[in-house]
Amino acid sequence: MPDKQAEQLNKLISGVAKGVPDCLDGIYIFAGKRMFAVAVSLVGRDGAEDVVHDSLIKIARFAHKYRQDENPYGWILKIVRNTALDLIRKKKAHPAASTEEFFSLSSSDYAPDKRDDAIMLEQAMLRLAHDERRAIYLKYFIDMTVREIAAEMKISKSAADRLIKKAEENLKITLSAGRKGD
Amino acid sequence: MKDQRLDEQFKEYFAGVDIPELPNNIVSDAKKSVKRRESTLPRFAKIASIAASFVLVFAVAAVLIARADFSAVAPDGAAGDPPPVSTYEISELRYDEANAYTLSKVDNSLKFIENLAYKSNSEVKDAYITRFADETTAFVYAEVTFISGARYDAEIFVEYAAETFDPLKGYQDGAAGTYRGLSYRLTKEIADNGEPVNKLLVERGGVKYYFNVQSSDENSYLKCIELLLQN
Repeated sequence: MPDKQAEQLNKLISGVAKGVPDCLDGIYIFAGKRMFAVAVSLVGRDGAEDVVHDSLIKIARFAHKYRQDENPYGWILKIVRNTALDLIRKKKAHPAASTEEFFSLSSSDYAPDKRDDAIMLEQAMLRLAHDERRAIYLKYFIDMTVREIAAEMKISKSAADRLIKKAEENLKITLSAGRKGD
Repeated sequence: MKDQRLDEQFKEYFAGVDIPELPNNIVSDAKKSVKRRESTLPRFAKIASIAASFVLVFAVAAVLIARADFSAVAPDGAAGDPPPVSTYEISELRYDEANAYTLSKVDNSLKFIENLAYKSNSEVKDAYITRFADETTAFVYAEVTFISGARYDAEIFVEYAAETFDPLKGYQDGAAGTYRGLSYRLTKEIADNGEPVNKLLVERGGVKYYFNVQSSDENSYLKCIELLLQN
């Protein structure tokens, strides 16, 4: 994420904390799509809208707890994730946890060349082993740190680090093979 | 550290995520939850000012009642009534902002508030130390929020003065009870938004702890007592 975007998002969260409701519009513009994508990955498309809605309310309530040295996307997406998990717990349902569904969000609105890239990325993700896919999901989508990923996956930090590196390598190999095959 | 090339690809991917038509009110609902900043006057001071105006009205009413002749029906000395609570007013105090992270240095009875400042599921928004003119501490006030199964918004007064801060005197009229060996007084109310409010008074080691806690948890006072027990 370019630092400028993080900076803007930081300012928007800080604006909400200072009681400026309109800053929420900006947060939604910057992060709405990722919020929705993460929600879909956990509760499916049907529940995702509710999760985004409730997450925005939580962002409004807890903006004053946000520290400016945090990763703003990480902070927002953690709220989305926790909100989705709360919803799952309330419904006593299992998470959709379909990283598969998550990786089928590419839009027909893409420019044709971008759409190919998006589909290629989706395909490459689906070819990863389950734990590798999960590690990539937590790192690139939820913006978790290695330590957080290790805790989430209940493995040691060094094991998480190795898993992420292996997943990144495999992903790059598949993507590069896909490009050569074009 | 993210792989830069992958990161770029994922960003492009996110940019094109096929998001459905979300309702227009998806942000506007959240906007209602944004807390508007109020003036910097401590909340307890505002409450005290309101309470003071009630005191004035009450005093006028008392004078009028005293002028009426009830001698024929009043029992001698109103025996059995509890002795009046000796109180002090906001005008007798000066207050300074306190650092929530170092409250236990003021007094160890405040350790539980300091703990809330450090925990990730709680926050101490404001903390003040109030003192009398002779520099003795009257009470310490903190406005805290914590999450523990539910959200709890609490105002806490830890009072060291032998007398009672006037706006808090009503706490002593609460229903008596005991929980895990601690005696307490509890008054239950309903907030404007319909949420239960528990007003709790616990005296422990010569210190009076007042909690005004609003939460969807009807028995939020138990959480407060547990906080004290962890002290």
